[in-house]
Parts: sequence; C-alpha cells; structure tokens
Amino acid sequence: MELGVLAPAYSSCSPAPEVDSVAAARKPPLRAGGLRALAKASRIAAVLLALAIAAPADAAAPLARLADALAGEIVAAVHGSAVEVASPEDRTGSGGSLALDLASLLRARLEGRVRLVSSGPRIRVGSVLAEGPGRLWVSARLTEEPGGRLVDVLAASAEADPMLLSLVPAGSAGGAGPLAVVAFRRTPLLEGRVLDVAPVGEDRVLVLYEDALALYRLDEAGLALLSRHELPVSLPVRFPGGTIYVASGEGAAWVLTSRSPRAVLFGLDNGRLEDRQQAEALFWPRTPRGLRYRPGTNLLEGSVADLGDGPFLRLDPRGAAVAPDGRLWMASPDGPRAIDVKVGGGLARPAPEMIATAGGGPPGPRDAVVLLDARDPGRPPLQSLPVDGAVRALGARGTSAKMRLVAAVEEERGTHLVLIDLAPLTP
Amino acid sequence: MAALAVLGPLLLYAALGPRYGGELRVGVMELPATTEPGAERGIGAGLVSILVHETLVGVDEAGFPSPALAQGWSTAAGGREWTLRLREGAAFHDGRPVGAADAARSIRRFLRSPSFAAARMAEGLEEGVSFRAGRGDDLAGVSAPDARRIVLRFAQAQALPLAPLASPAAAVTSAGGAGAGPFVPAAPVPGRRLALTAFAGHVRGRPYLDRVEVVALPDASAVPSEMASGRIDAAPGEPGITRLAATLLLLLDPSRPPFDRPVARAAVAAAIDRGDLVRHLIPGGDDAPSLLVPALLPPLGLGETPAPGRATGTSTLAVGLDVPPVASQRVVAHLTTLGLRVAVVPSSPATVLAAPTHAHLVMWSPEVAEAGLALAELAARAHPGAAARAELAAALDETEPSRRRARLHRAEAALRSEWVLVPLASVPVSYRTRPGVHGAVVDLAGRLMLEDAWVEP
Repeated sequence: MELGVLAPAYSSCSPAPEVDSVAAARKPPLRAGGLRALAKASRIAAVLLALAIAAPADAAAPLARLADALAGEIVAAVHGSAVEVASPEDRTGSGGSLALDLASLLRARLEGRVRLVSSGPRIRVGSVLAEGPGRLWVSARLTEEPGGRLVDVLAASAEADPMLLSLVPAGSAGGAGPLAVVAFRRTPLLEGRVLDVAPVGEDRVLVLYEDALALYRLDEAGLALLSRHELPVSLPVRFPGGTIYVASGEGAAWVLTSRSPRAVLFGLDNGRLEDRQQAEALFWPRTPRGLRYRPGTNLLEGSVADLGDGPFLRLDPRGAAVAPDGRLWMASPDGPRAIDVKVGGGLARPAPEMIATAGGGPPGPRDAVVLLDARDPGRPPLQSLPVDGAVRALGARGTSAKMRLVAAVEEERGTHLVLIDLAPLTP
Repeated sequence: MAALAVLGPLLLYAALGPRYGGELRVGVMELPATTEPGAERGIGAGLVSILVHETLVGVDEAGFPSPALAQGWSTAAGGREWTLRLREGAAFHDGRPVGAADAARSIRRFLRSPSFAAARMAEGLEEGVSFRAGRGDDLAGVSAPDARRIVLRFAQAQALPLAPLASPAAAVTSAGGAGAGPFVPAAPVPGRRLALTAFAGHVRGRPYLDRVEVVALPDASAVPSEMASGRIDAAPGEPGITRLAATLLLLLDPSRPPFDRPVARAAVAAAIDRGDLVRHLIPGGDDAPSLLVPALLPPLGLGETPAPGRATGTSTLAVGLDVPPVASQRVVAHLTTLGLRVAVVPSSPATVLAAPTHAHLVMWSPEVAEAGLALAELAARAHPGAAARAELAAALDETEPSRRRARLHRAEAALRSEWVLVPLASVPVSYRTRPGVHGAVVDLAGRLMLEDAWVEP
C-alpha cells in the first residue's frame, strides 16, 4: 500500500501500513502478486470474490486496505473536524460497485474516529477510485464546506491481492527414483514470508505467513483464498519460525510463530478460519507441556516423547525432527536416534514410509525436496526433486499410492508455493 | 548498526539457513579502549561500535534516513520541526526501555562530540551552535515531550536533517551507558579482546550468532596463520566479503609550504599515477575517475585535469597503517620525483588525520554514508575556498532530491579542483572469512556488519 500526502520532500517516515513513509513511498511495500498477470476483468472479479467470501475481519481485501489507509490519513488531516464522505467517482469500469463499497468501508472505518455529517461546517472528502496495473488507487480531495476551500489532497493505493494463486507447470522436477511426478506446479509469488504449509483434506492448503494464517482451496484454476486470519505479531525476529499442527480429523489446526506470543487454535469448518482458542504453547502430540519458540529465534523447544527436549528446527508429529545443525532425528522406542544425514529446514511425511525434507546443501540458488525412506532414512535418498530457491517449509499428505507435497520455496524475489503430486512408478 | 535495515539481509538461499547459534571470532589490527559511542576511525572501532550500539536512524543505500530505534518521523512548521517516534519495545542491554529522555540525552552528548556529523547537525538546530561550543546547557532544538517522542527544531528547513543521527557517535545509550545494539559486550580485555553475546531484545530481532569475539592481532601479517589455525574466523583482507567503500586519499595542508601554492598541489595531483597504483598495488581498486565519495556519488565526468609542474621542499607525510605499504611507498616515490623530500610518519588509522604533518595519506570512509554529509566532512578537513564552500552550501541546503544530487556533484568537483583533497583510488574494504560464514556485509561506511551473519553448522 502506498499513500502520499502533499508535503515537503523527505518529510516523514513510518512503517507500513502507516503509509506516510518516504521509504515506503520509494518502493512498493506490497509485493507484486499473481494478479499482475491476470486480466483486468479477472482482477476485479477476484476483488469482488474477496469481498463476497472473505470474513468480515479479512483486512487482506484490497478495497478494505485502501479504506484503512485512506481513513487513517483523513483522520490525521481533518484535526477533529466533522467529515462528509461523498460517494467516490468510479473509474475502474466495475459499474460503480467498487466505489460504493469503498465509500461504505471508508465510512465504517471513520465511524467513532471522526464525526460523520452531511451538512453544516465540515470537511468534505471527494474521491476518485481508479485501477492501475495490479493496483487500485484512490485520490481524495479534502475541502472545507461550506466554501470549498482546499484543505489537503490525499492518495492511496493497494495492490490487488492474489485471491487466486494460479498454478502453472514448474518444469520437470527431474530426479529419477521410485516415484512418478504426476504434477509439478507453482504459484505466483506470495505476499510475505511463509513459515509453514499444510495440506488439509483433499483440496485445501493452510499457509502460515509471518503475520497471518491463510486457507486456500485447490481447484483447477489454482489456489483460491478462502479465508485469512491475522495473527498477533509483537516480537521482532530476524528469521522467524512457524509451525502448523493439523489436528486429527482435520477440522482444526494449531499454529504458532516465533513472532507471536501465543499459539492459536483455528477451526477450519466451512472454509473459514475461526479463532477458537489461544494457549501459551503449541499443542503437539506426546508433548505434555507443548512447544514454544526459543525467544527471538526459529528454534522450537519442548519435551517431546522419544525425541527429547530439543531445540528443534522442524518437527513432524509422527516422530521425526530436524535439529538446529541440520541433523535428522527419528523417534524410536529407545529414545531419539540421530541419523547421519544433513537436511534443511523443511520436514513432512507424504506417506507413512516416506520422509520429505529440504536439501541440506550449502547456500546456493537451488535446493531440493529430498525423499527419504522412513524405515531407514540414513540410506541414500529415494528421490530428489530440485527447485529454484530454498525450501523453507514442507507439508505433505497422502498414502503409499498417492502423495501430495506442498513446498514454500523462497527465491530472491519472494516466496512461492510448489505443489508436487507423486505416485509410485510400480504399484 | 541501523544501516543494516537498509542493506537488507543479503542472504544467500540456503536450505538450512540463516541459522541461529554459533560463534564468530574476528581479528582486527587495533581495538578501541572503550565501547562507548564515538566516531573514531579504524576497523576495530567501527566494528565494536556497530556491534554494541544502535542509532535512532540509519541511512539507506541511496543516502536517505531509514528507521532504526526511531520507527518513523514526521515534520511540521514547514520542515523546521521534526518529531521522531521511538519503536515500541526497544530496549537497552540492561533491560531498560529506550525512552525519549535517553534519546535526547544521547543527542546532547553527540552534539558535543568531535563528530563532523554532530557539527553539521548543531549548525542547524536551535541553540545548537552555542550548546556545542559549551556556552550554555540550553538546547531549544531538542526536546522530549513524552516518553516516546523526540522533537528536533531547526532554525530553517533542511534537506535530510536526520542523517547526522546515523553517525556511530549518535548512538543512543541508557543513563548507565548501556547500548542497544545487536550484541552485548562482556568480558572485555581493553585493547586486546572483546567478547560479545547476542542481545535477545535487539530492535530488529536477536542476531543469529550466539557470540562474537573481537581479537586484536599484532599486525596484518598474523592474519593468514591465525585463520589457518582456526583461532579467528574473519579478518580484514582479501578475498572475501568486499565493498568499494573507501577512498585512498591524499590530503595536502594548504596552510603550509610547499602546499600553500595551488600550483604545487596541482603538480602533486598530476604526478601520481593513479592507474599504476590501482593496477599493481590495490587489488579491486578503481581509479577512473577518481572521486572523493565514489560509493555515494556515481561518476559524472566533472572536474579538471591537474597541470603538471614541480614542487620542491621538505614535507612530512602521515600515513595510516591501513594503507597498503606498497601503495604508500609508490606515492612517496611519485612525490620524490617531483622534487619533494618526504618524511613518512606512520600513524594509527584512528588518529592519522590529526597528525601535525604537511600531508596525510589515509584510507578514508565517511562517518555517515550520505553524500552531503560525507562531502561536508571532507570540506571540514580541507578548508576549501569560497567557491567550493558556496557550491557545497547550496547543495546541502537544497531540499529537492534531484537538484540536490546535481549540486552535490558540482560541489564534489569544486572540492577536488583545489587539489587539497586528492583522491587516488576507490578502494574495496574487504574481509576474509572462513568457509561457511554467511550474511556478513560491509556497509557504505566501510564497517563490517555482523548482525545478520550466520555460520553453517
């Protein structure tokens, strides 16, 4: 989101979304998302879809963010005066519906912060809503009424969010092995850093961002955002960690990030994320006191039966862990067993007899999803699926006959999801 | 320090990284006797400062102020009043929150420090000049109206008035002297060794490394053996992390013969074969064109070619110990060829510019990596003539970014044209590291930054 006010050069700076920032104004705070590639009609449709299906608290909708930003600026500019919000002029080609929605959202956000009136001495907000490449813009003119004296001119923009993460083939996964790569697709770049991913059911994917949890539905077109819930984020962490634990039955998921002071249990019913419960620690099987992040790091701590006290970089609920030094640990009846294999920061179980990890190689432009035999993970990998970037998180779901892996892959420009469907070459 | 916010993490894409944990031992040629904030020169002082301390603002790659302990700022009164808002949760190493009173007290300390950036800031602040001169303790230009806001009032609107606060000397400390940087100093052996541990409460998050140890080495020749033995993990020198962040600079004293004559100064400038220096003696250097602040102002082709001539007499030349000996020897040879008898005075990088010699040969990096401040810092050392002073003043007062940059180019050329400041080469500041060290960077002021450094297991 960007917003500029008429002010001297170098006049002010503050982090987004408090958008009076010179720094923010010189670089787009919101990354280009998938909608850049979509046609204009698709973008507007996606926005309307967002408005239609998003939860009321879903601040990710671009129109809502636009209203947030503009409301904040109006409150700052009017210095307590009464305000009249005129219906914006709509130049988006949407038939005026977006402008009407913007006016409603704007009024809702101004309610209680300024006195809204339609007559008498007031500051009148006249605005124009327009659409640029991948962005929605609003320009607002504040005039003193009666009289029409210009008080200020404000402008805000919001990138149209990727409500639909279209999936495109990501080329050959390569890597000979016992599994056939049935599909290997990737999304456009996501907004923000992804800490963990988890497939839920046949067609849903949970994505844990640094500051939010999002639930997507997978269909032919791609990953459609069903619901997004902001997380309490209060702790500065240079390279945060995050973990999703999908409860049995898949109707709920616990999440915890190292930027958040509390774990949150979300219900997943009806395609909506519902904040059901909060706790000081993340629920984890066979971990009586739960898991916590070591303050300021991405390292999990907690006493996990058969795996010890950690710290852990990653944990799999079926008894595997990645230690901070990249060593793989497996639970066993005799206690934790160190495996002589170095892996990266992703860990998942696509099938009972298989472990998926990120590669453990040195820094470089490429990484891999490495498939290990869970019965003897110290043996050479079953298969290695190279990706461009670094695998930051892995989620998996499946059976011996059909597996789906979801990887969050970070590259220079940002993070995208890679969806990999696998099946055994021989039944 | 805060400038890292600007540089960004510069991380390579590693499957297992960045990683929390581990230790890094850095060898330097000299360690400061204290960890208190200051603008002292030298690699050791710069490193310790950046590890221990945090400033209110940093400067980004383009020279614009960026948030650090202050999360943002706004202006009023036509650009004369600036209000900085402190970041929520910012804390000192002693656990106390960073408050506006601490910031205001630190700014007052800064304004009375020898820092050039402080001098520049004091010139603009209301009552700043008299306060800096010690003529009184009143300082109307700095106030803390509440626990989270600091208000700076300037006599007139300025371009980038907050940039001086990115100076290491402007670091914010608690009443007890604690810093707010990414590492907490522990177990110092003054001048020899300083151990530091990760500060969990750092404003940008705990650094990756658990511990950093800075060790004073007897001399540069010890680096290879110390690295090979594993006693240190990083030290100044090629190859490794590098950035063109320093200028090999010859300063001639125009108040003393023979350099009181412009013709003699021009002759010196013309006599030194910069290409020869760079090609043979300064690996990674850049001589074309020679600029005072090459990393901050890209070449525009402005400036004059010095006229060859002769200069005779005796002069003393203070040479910083961080200047490669072969390069200083070549410079002395060039001066001798002109007819000068030169006596070399080897000096510590921290004090070389204060040596009472006819000339100084230094490896110079700016106190604050912002072009205007950097030129002002050089001008303060060169005492330029009226024309160059006017160019520089016009540039520093310009508030429109594009016009300001154009004026800075002209000011830079004007400063060079007097041949008091003779840039000989742009020089990389380099550190070698052992394999498996990532995320360490050199900033535009030539300082090694370790807050995003991490080590492979």
